[in-house]
Amino acid sequence: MIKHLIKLIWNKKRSNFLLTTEIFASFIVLFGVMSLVLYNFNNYGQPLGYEYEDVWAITVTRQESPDSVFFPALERARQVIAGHPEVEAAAFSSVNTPYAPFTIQWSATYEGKSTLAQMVSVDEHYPRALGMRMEEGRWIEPAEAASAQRVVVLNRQAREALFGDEPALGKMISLDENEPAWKVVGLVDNFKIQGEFQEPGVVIFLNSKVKKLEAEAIVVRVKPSADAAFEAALLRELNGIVKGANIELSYLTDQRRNQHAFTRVPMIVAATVCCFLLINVGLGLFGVLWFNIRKRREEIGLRRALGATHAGILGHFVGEAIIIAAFGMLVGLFFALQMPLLDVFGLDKAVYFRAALASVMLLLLLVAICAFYPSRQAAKIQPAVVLHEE
Amino acid sequence: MISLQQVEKVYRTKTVETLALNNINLHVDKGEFLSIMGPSGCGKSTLLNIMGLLDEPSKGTVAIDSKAVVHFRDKELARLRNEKIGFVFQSFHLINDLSVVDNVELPLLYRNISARERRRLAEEALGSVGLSNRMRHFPTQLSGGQKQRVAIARAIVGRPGILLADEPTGNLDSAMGNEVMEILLRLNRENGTTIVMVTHDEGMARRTNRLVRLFDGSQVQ
Ligand SMILES: Nc1ncnc2c1ncn2[C@@H]1O[C@H](COP(=O)(O)OP(=O)(O)OP(=O)(O)O)[C@@H](O)[C@H]1O
Ligand SMILES: [Mg+2]
Repeated sequence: MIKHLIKLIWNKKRSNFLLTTEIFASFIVLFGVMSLVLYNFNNYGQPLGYEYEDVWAITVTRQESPDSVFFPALERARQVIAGHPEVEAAAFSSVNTPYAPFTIQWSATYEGKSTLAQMVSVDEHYPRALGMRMEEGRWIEPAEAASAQRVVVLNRQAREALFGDEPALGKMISLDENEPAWKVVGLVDNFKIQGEFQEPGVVIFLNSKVKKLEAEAIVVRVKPSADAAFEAALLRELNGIVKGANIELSYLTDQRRNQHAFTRVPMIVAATVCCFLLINVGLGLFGVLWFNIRKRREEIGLRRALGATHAGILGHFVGEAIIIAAFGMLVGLFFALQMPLLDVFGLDKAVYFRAALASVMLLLLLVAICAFYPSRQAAKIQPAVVLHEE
Repeated sequence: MISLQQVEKVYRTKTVETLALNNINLHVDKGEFLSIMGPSGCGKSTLLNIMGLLDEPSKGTVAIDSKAVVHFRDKELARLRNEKIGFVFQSFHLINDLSVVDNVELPLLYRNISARERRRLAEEALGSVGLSNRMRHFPTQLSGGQKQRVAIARAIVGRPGILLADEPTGNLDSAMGNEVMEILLRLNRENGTTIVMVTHDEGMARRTNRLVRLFDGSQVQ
């Protein structure tokens, strides 16, 4: 029977061509949108690596004060913040705090293996301020911090990029070929510094006291009771300590919302456009099938007279629609398959396969739904009536 | 083979009620070649549709092979039509998008028959109507007489006991009409196929075993 349907469709390839093209085009669009959505969704599902509730990021931008004045003032500021009962922890960080619109990247090397890494300059308080957990080893210790030891903590992606499956603790990595190497003292899991939708990237935390990278921001974990009044008082106090600097305080939860909007807006726009497209395709399909079935009343009557059942006619027309759609999708799949093969965007290949599968399922469902009603009408045709009308 | 008892058929539309068949009692024997004649609109096609289980009578019973067909479900009716009955229509009703041989195979698609067996039976049926050399043609490439011969091949491919033909020569000139008539006579004579044929042609009707005349839905002869 399937062979019969294919033959019938093939013999009418010219009139089915448009439908096939339409399905092909919608498959491509759907595949694109699905890839984007699944990519983001996939990333969202990966652990974030830190906590953002009740965390504030304070960035201090100096105007003209020299290092000798600025950094001691900054250190005092951190101590004052940490001393407040509303504060649980206060830690130095380079300006690329979580969700902040900054990236600081350069490459790290170990025995010829090199990777571009997000570098975060941190102190010993950092993991407490962000509620981080160690996977292996330990964080930078107060004594190491104070004596400006060249120690680093790697996240999982950094370790995989530099060491593969081999142990990393105690190894020396290079962050600058003209400078001494840094010792790996600890490992953490993912650290998605740009937020939930980021693909987990390579992050290296380095001891800020080495001054390889200035730590001009303070990450503060407050108690839930800390309110706007406390925030205002704290800012006033900080302005008194670090004179002539521009101090900005933001909630990580706010920055997170902004960051998410960046990801969500294009996704929603694409999905909306795609939805309209699908509705259009669905209506078009419905119309074409409806028209075809009206044109084929005689054939339907004949098939009934020759022994087709109700269900047989229904299956015949739904089947035809699905096979026509399958042709379109097959061509679409051929193009979609080029994405993982050529690896243009460097996405995980599984994303493409899942997107292709989801697109196929969605289109099949759409076609089946749109074909069902006209096909049911076809099945209701009375053979005695149509076979005798001229 | 087929028997109708007190069959009545009423068509109801919003405005009128048409009594298309009125108290028809008819028995067609196995191997008989029966023709039905009557003026236009007297109910000939309606009668044939009821015999072929394409339509239900409003009253009365239809029996095929001395089994009454009452309250049959769609599936059973479809099977009976497929296995016991072959149809030939005035306007051929071939599917233009299928080749001649694919058209002939159609009834076998609704049975459990392998593709190869279907092809063999279709070729055989086409051979018996003298169209072996036209198998790969499409219906639009055939003359009217050839089309009707394809339709006959399609009607007999499943070896049904009964052939119902509604004005099979109505759209053909007399030469082609005669060709078709010869084939029907031969099928009746050689294979013992029971044939019921509606015709407007007295000459053709005379060549059959029996003639039934209808007038205004009633049997008059
Ligand atoms: N589906 C229908 N609905 C309503 N009336 C119908 C229907 N089919 C047939 N009729 C009516 O029933 C009567 C018999 O019709 P039928 O088609 O059986 O005539 P016929 O003898 O085959 O005529 P012809 O020689 O023109 O083919 C006609 O009056 C016709 O108008
Ligand atoms: Mg008629």
